[in-house]
Amino acid sequence: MMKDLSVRNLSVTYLSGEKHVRAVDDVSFTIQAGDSLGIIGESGSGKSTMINAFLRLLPARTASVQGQVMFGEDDLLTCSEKRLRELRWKEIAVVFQKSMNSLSPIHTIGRQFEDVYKVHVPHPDKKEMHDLICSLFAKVNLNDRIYRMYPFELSGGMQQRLNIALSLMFSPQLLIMDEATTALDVVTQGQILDELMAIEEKQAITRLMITHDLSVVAGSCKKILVLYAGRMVEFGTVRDILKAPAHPYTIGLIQSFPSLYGPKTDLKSIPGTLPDLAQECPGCIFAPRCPYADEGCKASRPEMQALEGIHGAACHKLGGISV
Amino acid sequence: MSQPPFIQVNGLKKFYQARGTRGLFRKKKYVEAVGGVSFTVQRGEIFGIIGESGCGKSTLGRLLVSLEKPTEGDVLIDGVSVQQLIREDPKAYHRMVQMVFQNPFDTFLPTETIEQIMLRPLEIQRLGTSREEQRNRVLTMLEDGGLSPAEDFMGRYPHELSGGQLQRISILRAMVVQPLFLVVDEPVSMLDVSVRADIINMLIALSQKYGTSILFISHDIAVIRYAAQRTAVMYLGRIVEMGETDACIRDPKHPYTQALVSNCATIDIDTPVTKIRIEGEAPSPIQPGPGCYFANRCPHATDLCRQRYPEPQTLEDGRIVACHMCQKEES
Repeated sequence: MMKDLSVRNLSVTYLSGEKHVRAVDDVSFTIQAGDSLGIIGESGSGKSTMINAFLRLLPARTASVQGQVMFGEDDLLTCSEKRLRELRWKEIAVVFQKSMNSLSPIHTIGRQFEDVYKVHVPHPDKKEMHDLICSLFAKVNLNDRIYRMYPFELSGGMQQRLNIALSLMFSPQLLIMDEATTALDVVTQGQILDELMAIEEKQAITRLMITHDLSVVAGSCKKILVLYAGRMVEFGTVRDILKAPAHPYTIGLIQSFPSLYGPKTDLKSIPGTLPDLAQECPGCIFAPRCPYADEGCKASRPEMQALEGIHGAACHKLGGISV
Repeated sequence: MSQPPFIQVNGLKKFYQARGTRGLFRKKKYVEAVGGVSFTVQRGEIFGIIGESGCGKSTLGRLLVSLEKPTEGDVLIDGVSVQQLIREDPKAYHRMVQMVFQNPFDTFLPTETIEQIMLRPLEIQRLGTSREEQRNRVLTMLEDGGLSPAEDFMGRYPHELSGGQLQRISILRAMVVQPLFLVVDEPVSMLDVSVRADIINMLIALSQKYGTSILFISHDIAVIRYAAQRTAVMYLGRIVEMGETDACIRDPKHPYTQALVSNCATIDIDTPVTKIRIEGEAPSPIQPGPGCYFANRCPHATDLCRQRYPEPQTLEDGRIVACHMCQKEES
């Protein structure tokens, strides 16, 4: 069964003493099964918080989560622990940035893969399990002999690839990658992304890629969501975002990004820094750094406005900006 | 290019003894971190080094500022050997050569103000006749680096500044003694994309203003493209290709460079690129020879490649490539 992921009005507030930090602020989007979405944002923009909220990994005492995250028929934020446990890894798999550190140093790689397999298949057929695990190694370009090796015998890049393999074990419908390829070498990263896209073609996996690297998303995803200070500022296809960015933040981001083949125009930074998210912000969150902002921008919060197709941006000045 | 090279690196090598091979009767094995690297950098030029993790680019950087002692080879600054410079006057040498590290969050003592941090190199080098003059020099430097008003920053502590600002301080602290040669090791990889541009532009401006030669080490080819005029590509401790940065990206000659560039993620979605697949991992840097180090992964490798390491060859456009196959095409 194909399941869409639909996020409605998701907000996450971290409570620390008197301070209420709005890490994710009213984010809504939908992606269809088989789609791939890149979530782009700088450090502190709330992208990791957002996916931790999807998976209910945030501590309930210090983080309050509002909204709805519908995965097929299930609301991930309210479904029972039991249901969540069924979904995790089998239908929703995650690879974190430093997940190489999550491998046990005192067990062989094969043993650790078997353990994961047994969680969802209690009495496995030994041969079947072994074959499946070896096929996973092959998917990430690793040799079968890894089975008997320990994590410390492998390089960081190989360990990270193992975790990507581990996440694919049950052919999940939703694969979430939180900076999962950032630490990999250029060649390895390129090959893994290719491999992932090939697997997706075959198995209709929905992929969420969280990264700060626009180029990774440009080459491997179909759609992009741009997050700034916890708010969604722009959403669209890769072409929409890269070739016709509408929000001043997205425009700034692209102008600051070095291109590999394009004309070598001057790189421009976005002046200023991320605002303090503990402060109430009634207007556009980007207004203090925005070259086009006026009083209206500071007074009221812009809604997402539809442009062509699925392309949309949250800005008062849409259309009035010349790049 | 008629002027003599300013920084000349001759056959620089650094071997480390491999773990587990120490001991009187054990057979010694060596890790070839840098296995014979030669290149030149002109005055005021930014020279790029790219390569994947473990290719020895950081070790090379450390060798060039004498944080590590080379096993073999030498570096000449303006025709004078570094070994000789250090013997004669270590302090003067360290005024000539400075380094900036990757992580700006760890490079400063958290209990010192920016003023103390920036004044330290001047104090050590006894530059400037009075405290007043030193302070003024620091202030101009900060303004140069885009940290204005400079007076505001002087009393602040490192934790009060953002990563981008800290990396600027890090670069400015190295530049305040007006070195002739600056090694920057992955200066932007810890920073957000939106502030990277500032750091790159600042390095370019500083090298132009003070005529400092900069060695820019990075794994990010797109960043190197903006910063460096010429670039060397390293693989397993050796330079496999070297030339004008743009030429190396648009028309890479060495099979490794071709694979590296084609696999590099890019935002230019309209440029069609076919990724070149290469199998496996880089071999162990312990006794990788005797043939070309890339031969076991190279799609074009022949028996010759597996037997003899290719000599660097200068092509028509001045590019230097170490590959048997390229030589054949030329002849």
